[in-house]
Amino acid sequence: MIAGAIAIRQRSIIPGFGLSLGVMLSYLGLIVIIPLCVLLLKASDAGWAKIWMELSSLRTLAAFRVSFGIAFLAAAFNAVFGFIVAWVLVRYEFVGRRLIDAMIDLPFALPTAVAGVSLTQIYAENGWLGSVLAVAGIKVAFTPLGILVALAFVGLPFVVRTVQPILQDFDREAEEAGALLGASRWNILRRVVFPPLVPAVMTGFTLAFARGIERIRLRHLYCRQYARLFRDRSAADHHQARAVRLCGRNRDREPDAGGVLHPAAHHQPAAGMDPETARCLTMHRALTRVRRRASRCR
Amino acid sequence: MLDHASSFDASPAARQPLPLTESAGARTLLITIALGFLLLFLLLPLIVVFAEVLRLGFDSYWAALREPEALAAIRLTLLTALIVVPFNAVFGIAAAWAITKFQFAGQNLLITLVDLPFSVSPVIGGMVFVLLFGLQGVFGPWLAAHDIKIIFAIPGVIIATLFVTLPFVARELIPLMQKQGTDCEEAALMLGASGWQTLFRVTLPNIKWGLLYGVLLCNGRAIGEFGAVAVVSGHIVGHTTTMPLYIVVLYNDFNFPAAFAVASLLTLIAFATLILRTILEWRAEQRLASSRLH
Amino acid sequence: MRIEVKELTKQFEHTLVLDRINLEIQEKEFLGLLGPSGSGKTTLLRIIAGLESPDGGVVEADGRDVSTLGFEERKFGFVFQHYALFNHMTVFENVAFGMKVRPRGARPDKQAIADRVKELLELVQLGEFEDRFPAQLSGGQRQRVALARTLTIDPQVLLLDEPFGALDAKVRVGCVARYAIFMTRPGSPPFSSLTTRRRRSTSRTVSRS
Repeated sequence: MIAGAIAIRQRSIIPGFGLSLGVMLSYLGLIVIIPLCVLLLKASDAGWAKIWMELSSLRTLAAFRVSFGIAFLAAAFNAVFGFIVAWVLVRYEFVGRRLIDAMIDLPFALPTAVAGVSLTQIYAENGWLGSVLAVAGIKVAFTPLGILVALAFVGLPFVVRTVQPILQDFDREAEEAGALLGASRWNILRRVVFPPLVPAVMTGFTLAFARGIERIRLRHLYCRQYARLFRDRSAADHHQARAVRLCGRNRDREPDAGGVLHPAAHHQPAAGMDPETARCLTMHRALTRVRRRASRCR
Repeated sequence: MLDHASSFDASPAARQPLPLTESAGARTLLITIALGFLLLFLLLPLIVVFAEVLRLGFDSYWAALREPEALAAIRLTLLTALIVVPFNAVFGIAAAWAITKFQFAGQNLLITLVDLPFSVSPVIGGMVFVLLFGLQGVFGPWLAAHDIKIIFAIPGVIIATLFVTLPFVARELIPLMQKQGTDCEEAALMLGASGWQTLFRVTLPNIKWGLLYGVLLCNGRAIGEFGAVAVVSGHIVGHTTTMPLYIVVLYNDFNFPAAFAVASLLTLIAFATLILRTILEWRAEQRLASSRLH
Repeated sequence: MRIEVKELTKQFEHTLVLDRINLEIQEKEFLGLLGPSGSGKTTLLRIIAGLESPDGGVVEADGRDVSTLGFEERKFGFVFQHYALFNHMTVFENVAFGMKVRPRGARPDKQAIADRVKELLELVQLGEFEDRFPAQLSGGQRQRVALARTLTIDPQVLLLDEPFGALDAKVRVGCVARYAIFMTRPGSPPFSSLTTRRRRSTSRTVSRS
């Protein structure tokens, strides 16, 4: 194939075609092409009909609907505000502009884990903003709203970074021409400046949307666990300590071959047990479930 | 010639400047909105991380980081970055050279292939390698027979990260080198330089800022990658957990203080990356400005 | 060195850019190619230089097929329309490049390189600009650096692609005059040169066009 490509290309004086193309193709082949082909093969092994059934089962569809809806909203939110941010960064001068410009890439540089963890902290009911919002009756964490906020963080750079270069290269003379022809500022913006920017905003929107969809899948992995275990954080700290003490005798049990501690019969809250202890046992059971699920993440 | 007094009457319209920019009020409003949005959605999470860490106190912070599992996580993350970034940088340079210095059929297809890991979910990326190297995978039996562990072991983490960060350097270099064209390389070759001399003395210096930027992005992503590594590593704490994974494990275990301690490390690295980038850009601009005499 | 172009043909996509071109450049001749944009002048020049290969026909230097000659035997100097200076190197380093990249055995020592660079810069009247960067030079100055850079390889043929095209009219006239003096002064290196231009203004200085 390389020989064919060499024959097809226009011969020129610049060397290194064979080498660079060879390196590129072997690297790509090893890391991207072969693995993806294997994926497709295995998928076809499982039978396309089965896959289709899986995909179209109601639950998956519902999940998709939620995913798409929320990701769409988050991306739209990012499109609007991202555009404003890009505009402000390119067109106006203010203190700290360069630093803020660099920080736009933070969601890229910052792993989702950190973002998720700290966003949960802020918006949980006893968190910084969560407590404020709870007064108004708005719940954020573990609700679609919370996912929206997380996706807004993750998708923020996409729109900004796609629009910025277009804005920077924009020919100011076109604006000046509009002004000289007597148009008002708003008209100039609307008819001259914004139209060429629409494709860039759309591109950014699509990127943010795609990112959002896949991030949602990750959130699904951990969201439910968070929700159940995190309802009351300080109490959880307290209860965990108690759970460990009360259920401590189970620590001496050997995990089975799969490395899993099975919830034994005596983990069920016995009748007559005080509610607090019962609650702590429930917590501990849930905690074990989480650990098991996490370790089985394949 | 012209009678100025009569031609240019001092009407208010004539005295007003052209609307070349928004009114001061609109500008202030837009800046406020932009900064408010950024504060809420960008900076707040970071402030929280550091507030939690400060609440922790210095001793607990250090203790959390000195846990053997934490140290193992940090080591694994650094090892991954150390391997992944140079490989992908070399790939990026080779790919950009092949695509931009020559004309051949299939260029666009190759660019799409390079972008593929970028558009595919990282979870899929991880799963793909499990299908390939896992116990029931294509090479599973062969690997088991030779006692080579890839999935749920360090090599798997590295390969998964390689997949996910593959496009970063190439995506920076390809448009840059396309814009620069082939003139300088042709001039160097006409002056008698060999291919390697041209690459090192002419091409690389020309693309150094793009290369550095791509490397920084690749590095940031390699350190922070979660999805693909989560699938491939098996979360074996102390062995195959990278820092992002470890943070989530700690969080799931209610160990919030430790989780935020490790998270703060990652945030610091992210900050350092960004500050480095800003300095690089600033110095590049400075050099450009000072060298412009006309 | 005598250059002969025989039945040269080149096609780009669906356009026949060069159709069986025949051309002869004698020793020490200064030949100019005139023509409007898109007429294939640059393509012809690039094929002669070896930067591109023809679809048909052959270019011969002193009777030998140019595509079979190695760099040392060919020694064509090429000045690009937009100069293609190395922007990250000073004027000195640009001009010294041709000497610095020679294989270890044939490379002159540092002092020899420095002397030659200074000599060439004096020739093009850019002696005090050694330490400047290309971005700090005017168009005409950059053109002279490109010329000096090419001369370091002792070319036998000098190919100039619209060398004055990127300059504005007034500067151009001065450059053309200076170049003519440079090429015809006694003691100038014995090379032939081929240049392409769009306008007739420079055609007065060439011996044949």
